[in-house]
Parts: sequence; structure tokens; C-alpha cells
Amino acid sequence: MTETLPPRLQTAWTGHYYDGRTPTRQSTTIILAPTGLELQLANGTRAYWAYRDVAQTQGAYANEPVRLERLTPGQQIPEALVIEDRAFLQALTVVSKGHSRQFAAAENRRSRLILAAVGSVAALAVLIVWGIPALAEFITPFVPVSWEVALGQSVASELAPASGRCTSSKLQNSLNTIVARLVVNGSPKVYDFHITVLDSPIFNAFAAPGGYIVIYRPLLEATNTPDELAGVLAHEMQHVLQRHATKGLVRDLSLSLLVGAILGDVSGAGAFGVQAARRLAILHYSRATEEQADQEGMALIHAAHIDPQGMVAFFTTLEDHAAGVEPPAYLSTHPDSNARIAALKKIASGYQSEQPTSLLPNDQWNELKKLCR
Amino acid sequence: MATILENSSEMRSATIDQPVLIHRFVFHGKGKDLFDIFIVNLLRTIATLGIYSFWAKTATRKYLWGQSEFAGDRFGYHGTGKELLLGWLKAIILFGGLIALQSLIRFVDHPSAKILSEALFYIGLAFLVPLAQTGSMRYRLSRTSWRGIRFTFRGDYTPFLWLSLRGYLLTALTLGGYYPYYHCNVRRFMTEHSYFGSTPFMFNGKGKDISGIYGSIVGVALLVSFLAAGAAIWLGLFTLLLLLPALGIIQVWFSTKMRRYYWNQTSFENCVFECTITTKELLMLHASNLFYLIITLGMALPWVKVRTMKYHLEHLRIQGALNLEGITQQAMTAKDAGDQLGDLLNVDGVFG
Repeated sequence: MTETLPPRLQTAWTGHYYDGRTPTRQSTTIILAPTGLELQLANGTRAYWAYRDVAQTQGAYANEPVRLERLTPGQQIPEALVIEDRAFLQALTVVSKGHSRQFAAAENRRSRLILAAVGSVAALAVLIVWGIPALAEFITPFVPVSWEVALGQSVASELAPASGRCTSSKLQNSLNTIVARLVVNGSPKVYDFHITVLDSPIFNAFAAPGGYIVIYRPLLEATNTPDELAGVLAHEMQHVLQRHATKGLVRDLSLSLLVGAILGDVSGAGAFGVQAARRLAILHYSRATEEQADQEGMALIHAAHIDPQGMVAFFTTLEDHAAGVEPPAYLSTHPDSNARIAALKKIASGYQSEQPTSLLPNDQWNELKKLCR
Repeated sequence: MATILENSSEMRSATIDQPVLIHRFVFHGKGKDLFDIFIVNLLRTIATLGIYSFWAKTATRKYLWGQSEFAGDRFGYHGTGKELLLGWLKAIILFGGLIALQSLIRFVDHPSAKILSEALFYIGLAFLVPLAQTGSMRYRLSRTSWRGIRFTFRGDYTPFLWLSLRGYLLTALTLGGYYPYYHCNVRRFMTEHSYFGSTPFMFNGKGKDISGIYGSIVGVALLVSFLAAGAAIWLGLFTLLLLLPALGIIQVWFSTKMRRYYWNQTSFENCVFECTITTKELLMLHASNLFYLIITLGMALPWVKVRTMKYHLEHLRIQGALNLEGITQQAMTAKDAGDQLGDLLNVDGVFG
């Protein structure tokens, strides 16, 4: 930038002055001096506004007059100058040099805007793919177990109402024995596990937060040995222990808060309610959480000295079911069985060295599992 | 520029020597500019995990206020994002406290705990909603200026709370019959406690008139519903699909009538407001807005906002000799909580 002012730069302008005490509008001439504005009001009053005291509050847009304000010490409301001709702004930025950053038109923002748009999309993607899951991972340990239990209880009583539950105490005792083996030898005792068998035609099993596991009758009857059922239970128990549902809820909450903030609806609680209901209704987990539940479930099986081949066998049976006309619901939430069976086999072979102890006599199992009818 | 001398003979005969002056509002905003603001707001809101949303709201208001002109001068918005953030925190504490208290009572193992917690929530709301209504008026008006003079809202919470509680109670006791009177009382309170500088606005509306508007609307809505039910029996259920748009039209007709009535009963010094919106135009506006939003998947929102604001502002005018002499600055401090509490509770700005 040159030291001298451009020769044709207009330094005398007209505008209106408002004193901040009355709504009177006064015409004024404005002279752009090197360190400030010299005002000559219609009533003869003169004033000098140093650039460092002046703030621009309007005039960033092509159809907006330039508005400058100056707050006199001790006053609450500033005086103001309004200049209709926006060419004034260019002249002002040139003359006020050192202070030119105070005064800006919003022109030439096109490229910045495109950048901003691309940036928003990228930032949003990063946030959703990595940021929010990481946040959920961080927050979930702070969620009290008692909340999970209260939530799980209501989910279980909603999806598996007492009227539809199998009441055989013999069956229930056997299930409790299996769970007790898995708990004593494997997991830290944070959750009390409650296993319910639901008399329903659907082939499914799910774990609600807090330790509430529901097995549907057809799935139970499809197991050939107690070891196979132990495999399913270990898997579902790991969903609880790894707090997968809770993490999902925290993730949904963060996401809906973010979306709410973007859309200007900061409360956003309504949207979250819908999301949460949906999530709990299907208890759907991502592939990563399924793999984790498989892997850690297998570790439980191993620690409990149960035959790991049972879990492998069950998922193989499941795969056979998938070939049928109606794939079981359990599969739709536990996809990709072939790769999964291979992975399970691999883990199981690593645990093969020890001799498993049997859970229950296998020959009784066929009677036991049918006690629900 | 916006002050036009109206020379119709009809008006001249009404006021013999004094010419009737019309002062107009103009909205200069452009959808493109608002779109730019929205995009930048979006990026910064995402980058700050939502915290920027308060500054975003402020930036949007600054633009909309600055693009609104009355009698040749633009309005100014003087709120800040920090105020909105602090206000939101206070509002969250107030509202969150109520929710927390309600949840705590729910956990008490007693048969009446559930009813008690439910009742507590609604009683709490009955106290919070009027607080939000007066608070958001106080905040918004105190941050608005024209010709360098601030607006103020000087209605206190306590009298408004009594007005509201009485309104809720009588509305319940009269099975809704009192509601138009309550609605009119709220508008009166809001208008008569609003000041430009040192001069208050005045309101001349009557609950009886509002009651008439409500009565006619309920009557027409019932009639249409009966007709639709009849048509459904004779012609088939598909005619019920027509009921929804019909009720939508009635709703627009109703809001037009209400808006016109309220503004036409509002005055400032010896000038009266006049609202010239019509049901037909408003219907066209809403229908085309909806169309634009659908075909652009919502991207047209800034343009829709600008069109709506332009329509409403440019169909409002002030008649009479506007005498600004003697008006002086009487700016007042205003708490920042009100505005955000209003947002949280979804309390509409009282002046639509």
C-alpha cells in the first residue's frame, strides 16, 4: 500500500448523525482525516471521532447502509453515524489504514463460503464417524449401573411381558446354573444377570442394559447342547458387560444434541426420545460390537471351562437356519455369519488346550429345553 | 423515502386540515445473504460442538434487524452471543431443576408419587411460562434500537404471573370459553408495557372481539368437519383427506384475522398501526414456501424466511403524524435468561 492517499479518493461524505439520546436525525458532513472522522453537523456542531473508538455495526451487505457507532465514556448507548453510500466503506478502510480491520464489507466472501460449506460437511463427517463414538466411549463409564438396571428392567418388561414368559422352575434353575458358571469364573460382579425365556414364535435373543437377557423359545430349542446355549449367553452377557447399549444411547444423545444445535433447536430432547425408543426396540449393534461380544464371550466360556466348540456349533446351526425360507430375526441383528464362524473357530482353537468340564448332562438337555411348551 | 403523503379525498375529509401520513416498513433482506450467514453459522456450530449456536442466532438476528427499515431508518440489534449462552445456562438450570425435582419424586415408592410429580411439573410450568414470556420480551426489546433509541419492556413478572394464573384457571373452569379474553389480556400487557424510548405503545383491543373471532373460527371448523364426516359416509373415506387442507386454510384465515385485529388496535402517540395482510395472500405465501422447501430439500429455508418476513413487515404500516419530538432515550438493563428460557419452553414471541 502506498504512503500517500490515492489521488481520486473521496474524503468528504454526507450522512446522518444520531446522538443516542433522542430519535432526531441530523444531516452531517463527514471528513475522512488520517486518524479519525471530522463531523460537521447541520446545526453547526463539530465533533471528532478517533478511529480507535469507532465500531462498525452495519453495512456488511450490499443493501445495508454503513452504520458507525461510538460510545462516549460514562454513556450506556452509543452515538451513531449512518452513511447510505457504501463506497464510503472502501474509502474508510483505505484512509484508516491501521484500523482498517475494524471496518469491513462482506464482499469477496464467495470463495470463503465454498470453503466453509465443504469444511462443514467434512467436519460433520469426522464428528459422526470418530468424534461421537469416542465421546460415547469416554462418557459411558460415568453412567451409573443403577440407571442401566432401571432402563433394562423396563425394556425387558416391555418386550418380554410376564404373561409370555416360560415359568418352568427346572428350566430356570438350569439357565441360572449356566450363568453362575460364566459369572463366577469370568466377569467382575457388577451386574446381576436375569435370564428370561419368552414363549414366542420368533427366533431371537437380546440383552437389555443392566443384565436383562431374553431368550426366545425357538432359539432355546435350536440349541443341541447346554454348551451351545452357554455360547449365546456369554455373547449376550458381553453386550451387557461392555455396555454396548448404553454407549449407543450416549452416542444417539450426543448426535441429536448436535443436530439440535445446528438446526437451532437446542432442547432437541424430543428427537432423542424417538431415537432412544427406536434403538431399544431393536437393540441393534454394529459389527464391531458384535465381534467384541463374540471375542469376549469366548473368553468367558474359556474362563468357565466350558467347551468352546458349543458356541461355534450354535452359530453354524444358525447359519443352516438362514438357508430356510424365513431367516430368523436373530440373524438380522447378527449378520455376516460365515466370516463370523471362521473367526469364532479361530478363537476357539486358541483355547483348545484345556479339558472342558461339562455343564449339564447332555442327554437331559433335549428334555430341559422343551420345558417351555 | 418510506414516508408517503396519502392524498385520497376520503382521508382528507376525515381529518380536515392535517394530511394523513403513512409510515411504512420495508424489508431489504436477500435470501442469498441469509444463506451465506446460515452456511457460516453451520460450520462454526459444528466446529464448536454446538456452542457457537448462540453466536449464530445473534448473527442471524443482527442481519434481519439491520435489513428492516421503518420510515427511512434501519433497526439495530445489540444482543451478543455471550448473553444468549449465559441466558441458556440459567434457563437450563431453572427448567432442568424442575425436571430433576419431578424425576426425584417419581422414584419415591408411594402410590401418589406419580400423580404428585406430574402435578408438580405442570405447576412449575405455569410459573415458568409467564417468566419466559416476559423475559424474552424484555430481552429482545432492550436489544433493539431505531434511530439510536432503544425499545424497552417494563412489565413485571408478578402482575403478569397473576394475569396468567387467573387466565389458566378461568379457561379451565369455563371449558375454554375464557381463553380469548386471556389471550387478549396477554397482548394488552405486552403492548402497553412496551416503550420506544420514553413513550409507551397503546392497545385498544377487547376480549369480546377476540371471543367473536374464536367463536366464528370454531363454528366454521366444526361445520367443515361435519361436512367432511358426511361426505365420508356418502362418498367414501378418501374425502377425509380434504379435511386436513381445509382446516389448514381455516387456520391461516384465523391467524390473519387475529393479527390484523391485534395490530389495528395498537397505537403509538397519535399514530395507529395498520396491518394489511390477507388470507389469500398468506395462503399463497405458505403454499409456495412449502413447495420451495420440498423441491430444494430444505435448502430454500433462508429464502423462505426472507419472503415471509418481507410479506409481514411490508403489510404493516403506521398512520398519522409521527411526532418524535420529546421522545428521549430510556434504555434499561435486561436479564439475559428470558430469551433462552422462551426458546427452551417453545414460547412464541408474543408479537407475530
